[in-house]
Amino acid sequence: MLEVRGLRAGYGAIEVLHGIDLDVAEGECVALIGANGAGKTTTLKTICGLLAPKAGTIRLRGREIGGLSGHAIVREGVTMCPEGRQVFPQMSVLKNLRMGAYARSDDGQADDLERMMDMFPILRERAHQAAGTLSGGEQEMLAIARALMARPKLCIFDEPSLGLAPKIVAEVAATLGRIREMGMTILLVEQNSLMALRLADRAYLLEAGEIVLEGTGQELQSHPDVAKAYLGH
Amino acid sequence: MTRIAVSLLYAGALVVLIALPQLISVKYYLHLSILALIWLIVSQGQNLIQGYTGYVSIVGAGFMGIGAYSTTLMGMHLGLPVWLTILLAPPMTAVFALIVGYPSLRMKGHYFAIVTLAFNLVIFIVLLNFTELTQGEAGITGIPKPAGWLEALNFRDREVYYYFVLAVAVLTTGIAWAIVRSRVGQILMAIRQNEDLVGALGVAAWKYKLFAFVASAMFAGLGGALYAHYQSFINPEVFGVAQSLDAILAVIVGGSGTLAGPMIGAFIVIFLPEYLRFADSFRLIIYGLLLVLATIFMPRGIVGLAQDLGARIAGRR
Repeated sequence: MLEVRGLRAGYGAIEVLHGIDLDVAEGECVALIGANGAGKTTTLKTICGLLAPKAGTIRLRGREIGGLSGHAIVREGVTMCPEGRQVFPQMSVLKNLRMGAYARSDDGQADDLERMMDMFPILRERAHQAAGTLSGGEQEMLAIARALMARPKLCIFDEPSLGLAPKIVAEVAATLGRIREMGMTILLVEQNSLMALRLADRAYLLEAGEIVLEGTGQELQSHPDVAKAYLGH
Repeated sequence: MTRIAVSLLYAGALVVLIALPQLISVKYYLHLSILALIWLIVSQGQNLIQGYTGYVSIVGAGFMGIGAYSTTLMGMHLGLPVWLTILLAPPMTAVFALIVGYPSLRMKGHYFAIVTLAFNLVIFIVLLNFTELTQGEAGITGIPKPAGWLEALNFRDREVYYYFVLAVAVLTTGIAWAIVRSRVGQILMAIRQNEDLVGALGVAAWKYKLFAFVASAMFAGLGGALYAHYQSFINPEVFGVAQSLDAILAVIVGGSGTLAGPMIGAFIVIFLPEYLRFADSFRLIIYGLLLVLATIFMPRGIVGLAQDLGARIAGRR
């Protein structure tokens, strides 16, 4: 599905990513973990078109998308659920969900809306409430549901656990698990390494702009370096 | 409030506006009412970019000036009829707005405001110094009134011009309503609430921002053209930054991001300074103070205040 080869990117003269290879196969859940400053966000920004790659290729189903503008990449089928519970605060929950499907022109939107409400009963309960009045966890659920409303080929989640209470983090993790079961192709970027590795089929460990380890979620969880540096065992 | 109640309010306001010339005995108030209606048109445009899209533009009066000077100069040099030049003024303004908007909409927040302010200064200076075309500070006199289709429509008559401007104001408010209700309007409001997220939905936000900016400029250009033919005299003085701030104030005081806000705000911006004339040299100080207090105590404007009161009364029942 997504094929990144030799990707270099950065800001101005400073190069942050020094040639990254990354694959996400259809229906796979891939996690990208690493410490602050490792280049996770830069990788995401480049894939999503907010940053132009300096070298390397980004292919989606064989089509080159590197260097396209952000909104064009969304229309190619990559939807990102940005970090920090991004919603339209003054719009109702229902309207937020409809906005998620704005770029679509098919007539399956009403069905999808129903599906999202079934999946997140709390959103049905709050359907006519302004999104800004929802709790942090509910807003994250709304952001996830809105991203799915675009019917993406690849859904990128950027730090979905950021700033949420442990109990809510577990809820978000369970939700992502269900989305994975639905067959959605997911690229998950997380600082909460344990949660990410438990969810992921495969994972990459990013350090100082390079991928230093890759393997299944299980493998990385039990890898001594990862366990020591990232999982706190 | 229910939809019926809102419609009734708008209908009531329209009835009052239609009856207004018959209720006014002092001609001067009719003059102010015409100015207020022209400001209503400009403010509806300002509301599109400022109230709905969330980008405060300080070039409203500059665009009014472009509209006013283009209708006047096209009439003088090309000999076009007044109807046509009034209709051509908004597209002329739109051309300038495209040139100004494309670079300035790359900025956000205060930076955008400052860039548009600079453009208003540029427009003002050009109007002032390009004397071969604009006759500079002395201005242009003897701008013709529109000629009536029927003999009965004598636009020299203030009352007739009042109804003419009222009709245009109703029409432009209708256009603003249609824009806000459309899918485009949805995106404009989404940009105000979370611009980055709009990009994440697969929408090229800059196109919509440019649309709102150009549309607001066309409203201002139309208002400026109506102003020129009403006053029969224009000079750069009335198209300066101070007037742009008046347009912004009309939106804020009335209630930004609402359709009724600019209507109320436009009348306040025109009438309030007049009513304060008794205070003589303290007039502008009191005016400024009132506006400061209004922004502090009614941040959502008069419409917002009315909505809160309405909700409270409904809650008590």
